[in-house]
Amino acid sequence: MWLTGRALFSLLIALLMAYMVVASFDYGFRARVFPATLGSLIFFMALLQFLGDAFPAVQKKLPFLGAKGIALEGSAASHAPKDTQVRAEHERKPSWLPIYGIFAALVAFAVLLHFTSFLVAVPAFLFLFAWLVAKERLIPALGLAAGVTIFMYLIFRVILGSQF
Amino acid sequence: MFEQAMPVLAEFLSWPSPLFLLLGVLAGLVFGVLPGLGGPQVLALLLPLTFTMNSTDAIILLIGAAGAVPLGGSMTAILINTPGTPQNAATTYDGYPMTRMGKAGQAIGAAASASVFGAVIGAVILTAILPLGRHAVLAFSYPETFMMALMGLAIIALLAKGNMWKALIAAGLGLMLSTVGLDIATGTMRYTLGTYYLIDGIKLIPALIGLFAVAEAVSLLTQKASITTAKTSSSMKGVLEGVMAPFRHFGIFLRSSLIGTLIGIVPGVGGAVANFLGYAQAISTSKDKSQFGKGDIRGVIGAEAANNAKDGGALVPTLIFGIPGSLEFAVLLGALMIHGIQPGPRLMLDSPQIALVMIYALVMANIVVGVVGVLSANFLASISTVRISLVAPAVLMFALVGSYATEGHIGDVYTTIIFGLLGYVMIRYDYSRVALVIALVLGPILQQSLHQTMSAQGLVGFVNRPISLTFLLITLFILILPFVRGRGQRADTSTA
Repeated sequence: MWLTGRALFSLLIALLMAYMVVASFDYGFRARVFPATLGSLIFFMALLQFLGDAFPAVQKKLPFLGAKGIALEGSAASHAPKDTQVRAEHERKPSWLPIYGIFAALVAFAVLLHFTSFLVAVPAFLFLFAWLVAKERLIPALGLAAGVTIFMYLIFRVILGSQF
Repeated sequence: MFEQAMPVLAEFLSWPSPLFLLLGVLAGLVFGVLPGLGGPQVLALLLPLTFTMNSTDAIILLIGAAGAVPLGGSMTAILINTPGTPQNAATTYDGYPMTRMGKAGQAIGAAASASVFGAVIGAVILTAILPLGRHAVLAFSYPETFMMALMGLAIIALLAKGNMWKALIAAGLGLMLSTVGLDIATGTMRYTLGTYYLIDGIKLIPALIGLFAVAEAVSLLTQKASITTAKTSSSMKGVLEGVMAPFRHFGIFLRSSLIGTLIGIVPGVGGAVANFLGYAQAISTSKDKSQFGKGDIRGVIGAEAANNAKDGGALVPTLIFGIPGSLEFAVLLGALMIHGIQPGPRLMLDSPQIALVMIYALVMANIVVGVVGVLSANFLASISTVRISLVAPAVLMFALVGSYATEGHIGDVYTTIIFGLLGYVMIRYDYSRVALVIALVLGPILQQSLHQTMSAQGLVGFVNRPISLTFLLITLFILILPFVRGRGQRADTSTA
């Protein structure tokens, strides 16, 4: 069994669907018919996907899990000169630790924004984020924080008149 | 519809609409040249800014941005061999070799000209089809609307890049998320977790900003794959010669424009396929194929005419059936809903001026971007060399503050972050975000038409009407096709 991130995500979808189907039984018939029917279907699909992701043997027995869309089949990619390479959306998969760090930083920004003003939260967060997380140099990080804050002030406060 | 053409044009040209068009074009150009960012991201970030605008100006701003992205992407494809967006990938094949031959100006002129006139052809075809669509819409009732939306989702899953099974799961997830909140048909609160915030359902703007802007910025930050170190050092001579090139190779240009428009009509396929097919068409219909890949201007024309013409085609299902023809137009439909305009078959009948504004904006955006793009090509290409460690944090800030600015509710910021994480995981594990977003937009329409059909006719309503039954059969065929083909291919392999 390979309990990869891919398999866990499929399992998470299946569990979410299971919860939504069970919860739908608190609603009247007309209100639950759509989510209960669809949720059950997606639950089984996601469960099969999880089994396929976690157990390679299952993947082989359920070949439809690997069925590809037909969009790019027979496309002109074959006409491409061999030395030309188009970047894939993801060439390498980074570890999860920096991803957690980025999203934790975003949550911290949300908290800061909630309790202060964006005129405080944006420069403070942007400087620290660019410097510490994105590993930008000190002066460009300071410049970025100042520049973006001024631009946002002009857009949101002066032009759009937002009060937050 | 056409009796309103002149009044709507007058409104379109009145101040400050041209300013919004120009602003949209500039934003689209910048996002077009930044590798990894494109149409969905710029539209998601611009959405919060449209709240204080009227619906016409909002549409003009958004279509201006959407229309400018492909040409922005072609600038970097030609000048530094880095397609700004996936829909410019095939442009590099001949565009960059032309730059190395000192013909960058000619290539950019050809790309701009092919883009402008390709978009015009797409818009002309759209204008010709729309009146026919009116008749089709009049034949539609609730069962047809339901089946049409279902068929649209099936097509999107079929044509999704990568795994179709996962695309179907993503579409299902989007539909299920669309059930959160107050069920209008019954007045029941569903999945609100006891919070007031979810009574109106999952808000589209934070969801879109999260799925596209945040997810993509995080992806760029971690991959750092899209940073380009190439410098532009190209002469811009020969621009005029390039501008005239589509007329010298009119057959290639016209066929590519038609291919692009047809690709656009099919929901969810997108500009990348149009770009490749346009390029393939240029090769396959040319007698002398020896120069393709070495700097042949016909390759640039074929690729660029198609990816801009597809926008006109993508507006066909968007306007006639309320099914977004592309991801950009899914975001646009979200914007219409925010401005109180309900997408769907009635849009064409009730608000034909919206369709006209979109057509005008599409044509004008491409003309403006053609001029601005040629004049600022070198500068735009240099933007793509800005470090991702500066671009990505700025995008994240605009995403989060933009989502907060729309209603001043901190819950929107958390929603954006949650959907950002979801979007990132979906990118990483090959789940289609296009399918999820389009399902999220179509969900309320599907549910409403399901309730109305069930109330009026029962389940039999879906099969005793010819159009609805036809859509059902097509949907089943679409869903079964890849699996049957897979079995056939395996059988062939085992026989061999």
